Amino acid sequence: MRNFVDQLVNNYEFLETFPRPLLYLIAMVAASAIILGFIAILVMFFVWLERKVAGHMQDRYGPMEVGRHGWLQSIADGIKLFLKEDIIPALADKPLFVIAPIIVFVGAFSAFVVVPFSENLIVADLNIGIFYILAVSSLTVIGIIMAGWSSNNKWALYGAMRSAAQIISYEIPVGIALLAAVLPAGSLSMRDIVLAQSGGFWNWFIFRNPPFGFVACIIYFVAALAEVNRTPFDIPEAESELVAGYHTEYSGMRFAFFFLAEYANMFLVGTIVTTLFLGGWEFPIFPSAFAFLNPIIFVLKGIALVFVMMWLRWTLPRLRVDQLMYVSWKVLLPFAFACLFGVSAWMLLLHSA
Amino acid sequence: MSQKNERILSYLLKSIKYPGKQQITSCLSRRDTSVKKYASFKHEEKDLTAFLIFSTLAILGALLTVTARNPIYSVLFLAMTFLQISGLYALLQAEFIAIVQIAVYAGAIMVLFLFVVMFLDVKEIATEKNFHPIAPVCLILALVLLGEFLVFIFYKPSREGGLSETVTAVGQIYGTAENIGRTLFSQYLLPFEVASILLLMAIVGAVVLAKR
Amino acid sequence: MLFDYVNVLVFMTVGVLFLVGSLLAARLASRLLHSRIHNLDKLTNYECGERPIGGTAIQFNIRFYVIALIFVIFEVEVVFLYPWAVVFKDLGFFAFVEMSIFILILLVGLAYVWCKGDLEWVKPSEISLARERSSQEHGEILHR
Repeated sequence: MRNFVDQLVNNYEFLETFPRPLLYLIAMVAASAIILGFIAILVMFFVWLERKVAGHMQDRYGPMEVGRHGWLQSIADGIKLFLKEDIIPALADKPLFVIAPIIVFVGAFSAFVVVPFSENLIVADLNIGIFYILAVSSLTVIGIIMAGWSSNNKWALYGAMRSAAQIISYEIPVGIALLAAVLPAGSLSMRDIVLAQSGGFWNWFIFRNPPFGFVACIIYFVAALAEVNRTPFDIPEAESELVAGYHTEYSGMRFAFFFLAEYANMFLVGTIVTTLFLGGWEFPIFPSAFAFLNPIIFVLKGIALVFVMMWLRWTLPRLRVDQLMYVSWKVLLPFAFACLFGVSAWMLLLHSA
Repeated sequence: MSQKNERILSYLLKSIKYPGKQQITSCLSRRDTSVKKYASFKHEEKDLTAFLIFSTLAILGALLTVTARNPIYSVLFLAMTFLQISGLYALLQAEFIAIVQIAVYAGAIMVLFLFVVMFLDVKEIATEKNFHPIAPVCLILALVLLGEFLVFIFYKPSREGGLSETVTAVGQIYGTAENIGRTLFSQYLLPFEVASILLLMAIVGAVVLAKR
Repeated sequence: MLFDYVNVLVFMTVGVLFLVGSLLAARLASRLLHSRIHNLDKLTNYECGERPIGGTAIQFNIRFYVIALIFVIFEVEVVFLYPWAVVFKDLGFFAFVEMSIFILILLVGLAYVWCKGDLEWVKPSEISLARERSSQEHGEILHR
């Protein structure tokens, strides 16, 4: 960001008249606004896609009325949510009720600071990139518990507690599985991790250190599904028993924030898998020839992974709470440790050879 | 890099033994740009403003934690305090610690606290008012802690600057995950392994606690 | 480095401002476009269409607490793993041995929790207890 602004000032001399910090600030705000707008549009697309995917998997069409094949459906939904009356239950704890969706959304959104859309299209390439994402997204749990507790609703409270327990259980396999990509890259910076995989798909970390890279990728993907409360891990908002989970009492725009956060989180998971295991912005073969397509390739990879999540949602049944804990602590965690040992052992062997 | 910072760094290099020493010495002699870039941000007025904002909010959060009538609010104010402290770490260039502060304290430990509060009957405690008999002891301990802090603040290492400058200089050397790793896995190996035994004991403790 | 973190703060602020702004805009739009109908039932909590019964002081399963405790411990372990992963390439075999010892000690802990049945959502002892209780009740019914 800093270099970008400096370059801009070098190229356009009239910018020299403005104080440099102001220019930096404007650039930062502009970058955040662009990412925000991009994510909002992407989320609208995902909502439409989800309904179409669901429809076609169940041998029906899905939304068809608004626009050709219903492509304006999300906008109609958005307008509906926008115009809904803003209801806060009388018994709710008002301050927390208001703050909770903000924390959940900002927790999801601020992770996009370090997402590398291409080598230079990255808002801030933090030294500890991937670890920063882990930390920021763990704030979501606090927002969810706040939402559930402040609603003063039994369903919401149960949903929040289940959701929190689920997220923290799956946080550990997530943290360890990601190491399978950090180890060979030797860096936590998202840009460095992608650069370490450059030069064709055989260099991607999913194919590195076979089979541990692949297994770690699967472990991360499964655990991340649970972290974003997607089916088959959607017991916190199981509509047949908990109405809607922690956002039962939310309506209108406040509900829309949770919705936005959920789909933004899905895309975030897609981008993390892309960055750490699938070569980031690189085209699978002859990456340098397709360099001009980099950001598009990155986003397409992310969208493809989101599609996989939707596919799983409409294919698999929901897990029970005890099965949920079983999968996390007794299946994913040991396998994640095995992957860690496997990857580091492979690296030692290759280094000494 | 200002004269003063350079002196502090060289003082540290002389006094501390650590594995990355050679790198940093060569860094200094070459006037490496990255070190220069970090240093240029220090001791400027905006740093002070940022420090004041973070620390004020941290103290405010801590006060509200103690005075809030509702335990849930207490926990959330505590989380806010931790976030501000993480900002302070970032100001000291200790970025890894700053993120650990968010992940472990604001993320993990706050969730544990929230769960504990959920087990209590919140409304009942909210109306309770009396002081615990242990309060005077706590007060004395707090005063001792305050005294220690004051000593640290006004104590100057024989050569250069106060504590804050020394800490900032240390942050420049040790701030990143890489340097922490390098130090932890060579110089502080034994404490690291002992930490695992500590964690093991904590696991056993958790199981025993759950039994009751 | 600080520059990047200022960037993160700006990013978060923009996010919050967007949310607050859209909330206010939505409120204004709904004020302008439709009348508010005041109704007390609208402000009650949702409980499947019925008037809510009782408060939300729910007694939660102790499992939640145990899971959170174990999570905190393993989270600390994960925090140690990250700096190790970054320098592993340079330190090589030595780092591998160090981390193996560290992880093995903690795996002993995991095995301990596993054997004690604390990773199960419903502990085996509780299941047998529930079974006993239900069989007792059955017995009573038969006795009558």
